Amino acid sequence: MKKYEVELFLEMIRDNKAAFFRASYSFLLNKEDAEDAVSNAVLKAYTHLSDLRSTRKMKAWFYGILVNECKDMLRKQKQLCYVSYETEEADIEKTGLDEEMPDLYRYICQLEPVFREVIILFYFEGFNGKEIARMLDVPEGTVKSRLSRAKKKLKNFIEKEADIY
Amino acid sequence: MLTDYKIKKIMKHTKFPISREYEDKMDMLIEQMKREQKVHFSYRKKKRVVVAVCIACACVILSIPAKASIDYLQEKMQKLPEDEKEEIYEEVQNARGEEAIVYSRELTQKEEERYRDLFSQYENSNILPKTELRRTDGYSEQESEILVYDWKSRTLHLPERELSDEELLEIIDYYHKADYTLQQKSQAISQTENEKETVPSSDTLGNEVVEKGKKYITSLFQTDVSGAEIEVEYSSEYESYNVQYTTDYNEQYFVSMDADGLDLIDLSYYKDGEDSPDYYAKSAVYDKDVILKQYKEAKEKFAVIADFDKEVVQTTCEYRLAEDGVLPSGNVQYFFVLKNGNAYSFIYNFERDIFWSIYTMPEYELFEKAEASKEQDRNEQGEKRCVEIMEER
Repeated sequence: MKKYEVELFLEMIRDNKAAFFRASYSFLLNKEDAEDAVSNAVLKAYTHLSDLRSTRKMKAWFYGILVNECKDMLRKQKQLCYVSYETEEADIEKTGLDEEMPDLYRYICQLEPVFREVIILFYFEGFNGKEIARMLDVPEGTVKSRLSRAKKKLKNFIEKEADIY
Repeated sequence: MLTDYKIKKIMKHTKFPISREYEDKMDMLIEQMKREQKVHFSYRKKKRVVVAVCIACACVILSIPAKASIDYLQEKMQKLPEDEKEEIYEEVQNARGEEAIVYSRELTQKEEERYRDLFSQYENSNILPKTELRRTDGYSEQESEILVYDWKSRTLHLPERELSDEELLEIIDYYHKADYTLQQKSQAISQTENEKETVPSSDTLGNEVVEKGKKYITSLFQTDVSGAEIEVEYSSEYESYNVQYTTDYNEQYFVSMDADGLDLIDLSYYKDGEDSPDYYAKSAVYDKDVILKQYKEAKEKFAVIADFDKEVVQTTCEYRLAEDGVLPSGNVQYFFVLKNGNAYSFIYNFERDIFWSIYTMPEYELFEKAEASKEQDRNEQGEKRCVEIMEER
């Protein structure tokens, strides 16, 4: 791989390590697992840098690898976090929601994984529907509908917080 | 009203704690990879770092109005004429190549020291270059003796001699102007999006959108959603209306329509309480008869949306197949490729026996290329992607 591509890649990792951890945590809900997922994804991406066609898409490409890494870990761990439709309270089999996390984030982590992932990628990480669809390997329409429904779920919490800002 | 703008604003203010251990771990990993590649952050990288730090400082200072030195910088930026801002913005938007500005050669140590010093003077006094940075959209070797910025390739061409203070100031001045222009534009765009993100207040338009959505659902799913709970939303990102119909049976139909002509963009079906990533992803055995039968149904549904004979050039059926002849996700996707290069997609799920997603796809060819590039990963997972041509016209 070209030296320049490696430089760009390492710079991107260094500049976005907090964002990567945030995204990874939203999937795995556990600090240690999230950290492992990011470092595994970095190594995986590093060895596959020659597959990258355009450095402009490097960040989105890396997020795709990170999302897959998180999903692989979840599959192996069979970790479940779901919202009961009757009570709307989170039921986490593996404890991991750390108290120091901001309230908004803890709220988001209580949502179903399908909503959590689009919220994080769209609102936190700033990707558009097309990019998210590619990362999650779902149709763009699915991303849009999930975003719309996710926003509905965030509504009560966010509208309270919006006044502060 | 809850808008994307509000949500993004809140997200931006939400601080997320990162552990020191994680930061150290990542730094060590990066150092290890650098050593392996013998990467020393060459001159190209160095320049980006210097510039990034400088611009970062400028950004911080521009947003904190307390200090006296800010007045000089703010004053300079606020005097920037609108047409110049537009010109800079257009250049940034139309540039090709690298995202960051690239230098044609490394700055010498002396140049770097003077750059830092002049940068500080630029921000803390009324110092300005006498002339502006020379900009072009097509660099020529004949200009090799002068400082030129080729905005098209985002390359700053430095002559092979020591840069003067004036030339360094021109660079510093341009960076500040570009950064300020982009900040202003970004704020203006966010504000416009926020203003646009309201459901149209006209009852007539609202009813029209809802009724059109109902017609699509009836035609494509043979379902009457007259008594359904309805929510309408306007998306400024996609310039579309999104309508959600929730029936008494906890079924949800999500219809997205183009704001201009209410053409269907996509339509999805969910049964609430069963909306998990696995709901439409249970594996199923490949069955050619089912493929052909559902293709006929997809064609009937397509006829509701568009004229098959006039618009379609090709239809395909695409799916992932595992080595044991199983469809890992249980889904097949029918594409109706149109003359204009776009396509309609109909996704059928074997397990649920339902077309659960119908949507338009712009630039079908790009999608195909992207899918083809994932082939190696799929092969590693013991899967392959299959594309069956159903009809070619």
